[in-house]
Amino acid sequence: MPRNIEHSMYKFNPGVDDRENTALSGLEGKINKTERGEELAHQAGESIRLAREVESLGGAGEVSKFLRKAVVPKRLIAGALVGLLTLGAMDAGKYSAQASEREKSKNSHVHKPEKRLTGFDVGFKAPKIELVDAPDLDSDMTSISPIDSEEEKTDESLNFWSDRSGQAGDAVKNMRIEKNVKSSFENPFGSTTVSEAGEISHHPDRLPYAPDFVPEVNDADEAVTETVQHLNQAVEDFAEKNDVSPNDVVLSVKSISGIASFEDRAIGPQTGFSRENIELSKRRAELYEEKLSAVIDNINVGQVRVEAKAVGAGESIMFRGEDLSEKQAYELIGKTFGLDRYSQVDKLIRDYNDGKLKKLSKEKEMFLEELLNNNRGVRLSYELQVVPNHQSRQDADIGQQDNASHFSGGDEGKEYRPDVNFGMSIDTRNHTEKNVRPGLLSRLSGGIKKVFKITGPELSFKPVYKEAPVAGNQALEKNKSVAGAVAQEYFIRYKKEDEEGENIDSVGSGKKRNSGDPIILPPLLDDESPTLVESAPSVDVPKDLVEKPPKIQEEIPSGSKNEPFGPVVSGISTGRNTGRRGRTGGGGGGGGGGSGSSIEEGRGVWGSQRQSMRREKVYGKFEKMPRGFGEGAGVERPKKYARGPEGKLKIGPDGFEVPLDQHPQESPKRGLTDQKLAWRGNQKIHDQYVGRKRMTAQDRDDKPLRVGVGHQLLNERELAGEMRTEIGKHLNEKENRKFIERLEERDLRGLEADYRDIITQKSNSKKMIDESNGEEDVNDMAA
Amino acid sequence: MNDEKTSKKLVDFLVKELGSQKATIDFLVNFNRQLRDHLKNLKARSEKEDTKKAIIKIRSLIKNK
Repeated sequence: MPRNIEHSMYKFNPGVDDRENTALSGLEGKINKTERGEELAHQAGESIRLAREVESLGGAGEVSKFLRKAVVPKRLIAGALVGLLTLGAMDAGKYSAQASEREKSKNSHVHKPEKRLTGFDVGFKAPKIELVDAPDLDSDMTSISPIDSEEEKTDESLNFWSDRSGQAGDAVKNMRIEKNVKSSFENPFGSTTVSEAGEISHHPDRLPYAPDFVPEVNDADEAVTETVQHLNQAVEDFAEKNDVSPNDVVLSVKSISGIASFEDRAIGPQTGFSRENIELSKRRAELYEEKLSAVIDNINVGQVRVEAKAVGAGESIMFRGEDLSEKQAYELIGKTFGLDRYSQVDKLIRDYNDGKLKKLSKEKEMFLEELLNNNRGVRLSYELQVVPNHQSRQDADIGQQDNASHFSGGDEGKEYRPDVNFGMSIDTRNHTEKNVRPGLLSRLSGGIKKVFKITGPELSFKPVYKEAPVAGNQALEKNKSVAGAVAQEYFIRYKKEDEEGENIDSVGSGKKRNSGDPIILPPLLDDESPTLVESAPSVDVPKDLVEKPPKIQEEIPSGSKNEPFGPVVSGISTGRNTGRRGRTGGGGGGGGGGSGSSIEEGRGVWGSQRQSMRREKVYGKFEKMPRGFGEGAGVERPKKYARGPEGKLKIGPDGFEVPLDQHPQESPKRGLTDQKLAWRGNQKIHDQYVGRKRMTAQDRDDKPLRVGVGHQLLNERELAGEMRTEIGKHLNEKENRKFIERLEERDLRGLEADYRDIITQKSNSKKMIDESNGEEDVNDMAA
Repeated sequence: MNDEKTSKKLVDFLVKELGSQKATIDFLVNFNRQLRDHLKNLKARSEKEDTKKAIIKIRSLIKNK
C-alpha cells in the first residue's frame, strides 16, 4: 500500500487482514463497485462467523454481553437489528429484547439526576404465618375397608370395580369406600372423588381422598381406566413375587398422585421398575401441575420453580423454591418477625438460640426452627410436598424405606386400612446430595401435616432521595426550612445565654466558656445512619444530641493511619508532590498537603500525573490525538468509553457515536481547560464521597457530628453554609467573604466574639417578631 | 448457502441504514474488530477456566491418593 494514501488517523496495521487495512485506510473511494461488494460480503460473512463462534463458545449470554459492550451507531441498536441481522443465522429473536435493554441502559447515565440517599421508607407488614390445621386422621378421612357380607358384595352400587376380573380385580372389588370427610382443611388441589356408584365428582374445597384417581375431571374416564389396569397388574405382580394371595394385598396409595405412587411401590425398585410406569407417573404429575400452581402462589419465599417429578414412594410431586442465600434468609426472618435491620435479625437469632425468645407463637417458632436449624446460610429449599396422611408414612420424608412392610399380607391383611388419606405440607428441608435430612414432617407424629401458609405483602425498602445540593446558596435556599431552623436554634440558645449574662458554651453543656474558645456547633448524627422518614419535618433538635460537644478535628498529615483518605481539607488543585509517601498507594485520592500516596512504593506522584489520575476518575482514560487531525489535534481527549457530563461526541470518520458525553472542544462551556472540567467532576466526587468519609473516619467514635432535624439530615458542611447565610445577611460582601473563609477553614476561634453583635441583633429582631405574633417565649421555638 | 443469504440480508440492511457502502464497510470492519477482541478475551477466559478446573481435579486426585 502506498504510504501517501494512509489516513492520518489510522495507522497501517500489518497484523490485520489486508482488507481491513484497506477499509481503514480510506481507500474505499478508490476501489470499484465490484470490489466494494465483495468487501461487504466478506465483512458481513466474517461478522456472522465470528458471532457464531462467540455463541458456540459462550452461549447466547456471551453474545448478549458482547452486544451490550459493542460500540455501534445508535440507530442500529434502537432497532435491535444488529442483534437480529448480524446474528441472523442464529436465533435472532432472543436478542431483540436484550438489545432494547441495552438501548435503555446506554442512555441511563445521561441526565441522570444527582440524588443522595437520605434514608429508607421501610414499609412492610409482617406476613401472616399460619399453621393450617391438619384433619383428624381418625375421623375425617375416607377409608376403604373390605366388604365382608355377601349381600354387599353383590350390591352393584358398591361394586365400582365390577369390570375388573381375576384375583386382583376381586381384591379391590370387595372393598367398601367409606366417606367421612369432615375436614375444613383448605386444600388448593381440591379433590376428585369417586362415589360408591362410580360417579366422579370434583370438590375444589375438599381434601383429596381415595380413590383419587382422577386428577382432572375432563380426563377422569381415561385416568380411571388407566389406573385400574395398572392396579390390577400391579397387585398381581406383587402378589406373585411375594408369594401371597392377591386378596391379601393392601393397596397403598401413597400420595395425591396416589396411583402413580402405588405403582412405584407395588412394582417398585425391589420388584423391578418399568419405563411405562415412570412415564405414567410423569404424566400424572404433569396433570397436577396446574392446580399446584395455586399453591405456589401462596408460597412467599424466593422464586418457586416447578419440579414435577416421577413419583416415588412418599416423595410425591415436589415443588422446590429457589435456594436462599443467607441474606434472603435474613430478609425472610425479618419480614416474618417485623424487623427491618440485619442486626435485629441477628439479635433475634441469638436470642432464639439462647432460649430467650418468649411469647413466640408456635407457628413462628417452628418456622424459625426450620429456617435456622436446617438452612442458615447454606441452602434453603421450600418444598410443597404432598404426602400420605397416615401413621405409617413417616418414612415418606426419607424416601422409600421398607416398601414391603406396607403391603401387609396374611393375618395383618385382614384389617385392611389402605393408606388413602392425604395431607399437604410445606416442608422445609435441606436437600444436599450428602445430607438429606428428615424435615419437619418426619419429626411430627403421624409423619405429616404441618402446613405453613405464608401470606402477606412483600417487604419493601423504598429508598428516599434528596436532591444533592447544586452549589452554594441556591442549594442552601432550598434547604432553608430545615437548615434555617437549626441555625435559628443555635442563635436562640446563644441569645438566652447572653441574656442571662453567662458566658457559657452555646449549646447548653453548662461549661464555662472563655473568650476565644471555639463556638460549639450543634452536634450531628452519625453520617452513615439513615433515618426513617417521618411524615412532617420537625424543627426540633433532640436534646440528647446536643449535650456532647463535637470534637473539632485537627488536621492530620495525609497518609497517616488516622486519615487514610487524605487531609481534612483537601485542596484539589494544589498539585504539590511533596508530603509523605504512603506505603500503599491511594491512587491520587489525597490532595493538598502532599499526595500522601504513591502508585508504587517509594515513588511519588507528580502533580501532572495525579491530575491525570483525577481526570480519569471522571472521564476515563485519555488519549492523545495524533498530529494533524483537524480540531483538537495534539490535544488529549477522552477515549471512546469515557464518561462525563452530557453531550455526544463522534469519533472518527466512521461516525461512531460513543457514550462519551462532553468533550472539551464540543462543550458548551468551551474555553474551560480539561483540568478545570476534571476539577469540577472531582469536586462532585469529593462532595459525595470524600467529604462524607472524612467526617466519619475519625469522628465516628466521637459522634455525633451530624444533627438530624425532622426528616432530613444536615451535615456539617450544610450547617456551616446555613450559618453563612444567616450571618451573611448582616455582612457586606467583604465581611461576608472573610466570614466564609473562617468557617471553611474551621477557624472558629473568636468567631462568636467577632459576630456577637450580629447574632444579638438577629435574635432581638427575631424576638420582636415573635412577640408581635403573640409568642410567649422565644425559647419555646427551640423546644 | 444460508450464510450467503444472511450475509446479503445483513449487507442490504446496513447499507440502507448507514446510507452508503463505504459507511457499511467501515461499520462492519469496526464491528468485526470488536467481535474479534471479544472472542479473544472469551477464549482466554475459557482457557483460564479450564486450567482452574484441571488444577482442582489434580488437587483432588492427590488428596484422594
